Amino acid sequence: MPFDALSDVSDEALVVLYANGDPLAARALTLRLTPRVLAVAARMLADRAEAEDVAQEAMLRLWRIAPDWRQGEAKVSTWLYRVVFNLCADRLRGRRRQSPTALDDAPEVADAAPGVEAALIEGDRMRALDAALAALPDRQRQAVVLRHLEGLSNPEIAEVMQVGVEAVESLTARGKRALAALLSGQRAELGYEEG
Amino acid sequence: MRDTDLDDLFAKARHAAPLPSVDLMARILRDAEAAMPPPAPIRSAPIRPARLPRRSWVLVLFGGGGVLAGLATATVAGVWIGMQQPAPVAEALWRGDATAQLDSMDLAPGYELFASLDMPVEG
Repeated sequence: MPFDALSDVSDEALVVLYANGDPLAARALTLRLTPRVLAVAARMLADRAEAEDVAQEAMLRLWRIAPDWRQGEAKVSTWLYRVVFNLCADRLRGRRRQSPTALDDAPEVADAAPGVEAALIEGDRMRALDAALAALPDRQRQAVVLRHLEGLSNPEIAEVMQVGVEAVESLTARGKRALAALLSGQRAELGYEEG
Repeated sequence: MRDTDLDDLFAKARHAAPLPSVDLMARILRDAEAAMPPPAPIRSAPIRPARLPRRSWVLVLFGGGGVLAGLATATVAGVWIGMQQPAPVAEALWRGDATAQLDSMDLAPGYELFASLDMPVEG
């Protein structure tokens, strides 16, 4: 079967094919899902190497659950996002245990913006955004990343985060306001005109 | 920072999303290969059919329940026709009055049929 033949096959069908021993399904799922998994993990952890480990671990859990996948219950991508968030939460908790003051410093970095300023000096808006995202509470960061960076709809985010749609709207709104506040002092450095 | 500025930043971030390295893809594919369940074995059909109960064996012998029912119906109908000799059946068989006494009946053609073959052909 040519590889292109799988481009129209749903994620769920590919998982079933993989569980039946189809190596092409594994390849199609890897190419389709890994970029999304990695992007979310990188936004959550702000660390490329850790994000790659999380992406690999999340995909490994998908391979392992494939034979027992219950069709029609949850989208594969939704399930994967949930796994990624759980893995990221574990790693973030580990960081906090290792350096309890690090998180306390994070908002300060964003407020006083030494990290953000450094990023701006390099002209790197993305790093400034990552630094500001890192200062958000976990749930707000998850909602903002899924809504504004991954482009998921509010009902989809609600399913991933297992909350109501109204809670998602609240989290994204508060997260966006917090980001705007964190980055407001560096607006000119970010290249946005005043006014 | 205005909302539009933030939206612009998000748009740039979407385009600058990290791409998986070749090494990461290879690691994930290796995991997939290692964790892949073996294909389900193809089982051949049993060579000897399972032993059937006596009743099923009789049905199979006669070609199934439907065929057996048809056979029984035909048997009963034959016996009934033989016993009753309905008039239309007798007329169809003997081309005559069903009530008339039947003395004799030619079951094979006589030699008269072949007599015509001995006549010379004119012309």
